[in-house]
Amino acid sequence: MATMAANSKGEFLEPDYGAADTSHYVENWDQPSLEPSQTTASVHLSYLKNFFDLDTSDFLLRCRRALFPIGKKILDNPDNEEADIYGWVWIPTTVILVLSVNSSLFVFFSALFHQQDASVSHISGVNFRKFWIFSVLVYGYNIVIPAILWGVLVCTTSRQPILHLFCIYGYSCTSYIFASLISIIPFEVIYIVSFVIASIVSSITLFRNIFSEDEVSESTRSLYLFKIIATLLHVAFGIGLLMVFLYGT
Amino acid sequence: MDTLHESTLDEPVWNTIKRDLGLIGRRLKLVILPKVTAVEMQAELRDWDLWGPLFICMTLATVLSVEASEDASLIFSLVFLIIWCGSFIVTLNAQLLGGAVSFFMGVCLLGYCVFPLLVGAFFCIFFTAVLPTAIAVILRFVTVVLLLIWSIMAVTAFFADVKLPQGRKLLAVYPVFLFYSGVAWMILVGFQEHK
Repeated sequence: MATMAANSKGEFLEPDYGAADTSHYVENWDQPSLEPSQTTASVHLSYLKNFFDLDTSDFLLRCRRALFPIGKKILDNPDNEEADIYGWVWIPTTVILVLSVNSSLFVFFSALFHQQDASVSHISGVNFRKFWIFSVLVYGYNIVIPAILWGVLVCTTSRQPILHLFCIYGYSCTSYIFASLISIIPFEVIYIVSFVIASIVSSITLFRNIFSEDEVSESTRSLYLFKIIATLLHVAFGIGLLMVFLYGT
Repeated sequence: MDTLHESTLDEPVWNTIKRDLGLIGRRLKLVILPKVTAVEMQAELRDWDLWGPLFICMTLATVLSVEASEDASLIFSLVFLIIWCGSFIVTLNAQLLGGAVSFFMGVCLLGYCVFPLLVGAFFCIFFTAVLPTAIAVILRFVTVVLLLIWSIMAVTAFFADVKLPQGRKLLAVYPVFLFYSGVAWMILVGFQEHK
């Protein structure tokens, strides 16, 4: 009970609040709660390390299976069946970089071959605009579409782990690396054909691999429908890449 | 230990600068001659410093922006950003693959190994200024490709001491290859807008 008291001189004393109940106080509240060796960053890092748990041989095996979709599935390796994010990060990045470089080299070589500019010095500077367009297209497609697909599949009987979907979408871009390497040749027919072939291969890969092994049965109509839609979207993505390569400013 | 600290605090500024320059010079020598013994490299990796990468990155950005025909300040900041962000992403990748490399160690290593490409940038300026254009373009291309290979060899030699788990070295070096190829492309092509 707080009481205001005045002493004999007429000054007010501090009220007496009594002993406070400190049993609910947190001890050492001002000390960091984590051990020094385990900061927040390293906890996140060790969680993410699970998604990068593959060797070079695993990675190359998965890429080879993505390129030749007739045969074993991408993640069908008894030694390492875990989906990884390494492919999803670096394969689309390679596609973007090779396409951006080659789109400017293409202009240079086609000018050279078609004798419009006889001088060799007319190579334009780094074209960041095309790089941005490719980045948005490739990364956007590889982030948004698997996420939407996972969201849709969660509502159905088939529960695909989202990591598996991202992994498959990443590896299915492997054939586009080769198409973009071929695109340095300035003859339109060659690289249009290579892009079409890459789109077909990539879509077949996606079609075969999009559902993981514990798929109940593929005769369910809705699941089959989603597979078809995803594959068609993938073909559209390949054609989109080709259009941006040809006509992006 | 206290006397050591006191002595470096009281020393003339020139001595401090000379010591730091010597440190940078020693590391550059390691980068230029990548086939050194593993023990030396481990010691260098642990004492990371950011002066060398900063100096190299600023010089490269200056060279590329001087060559540019328009908006030099944008080019400067763009090159700066690309090099530091690229180093960060590549180091993060090496960490996630299981390598025992701290963030600053990786950034220091990647920054130092850009040095051959910086030399290539100077060569490019020299060739463009002195030689006729056709020969200059070919020489630029050859020089930059050779120095790119040199940079990647230096990084690969250092990466041998990052203690990656078995069989993952190529996975860790491949993003480095992508990153340095991007930088080499910027050096090779420049930022001129030809009309």
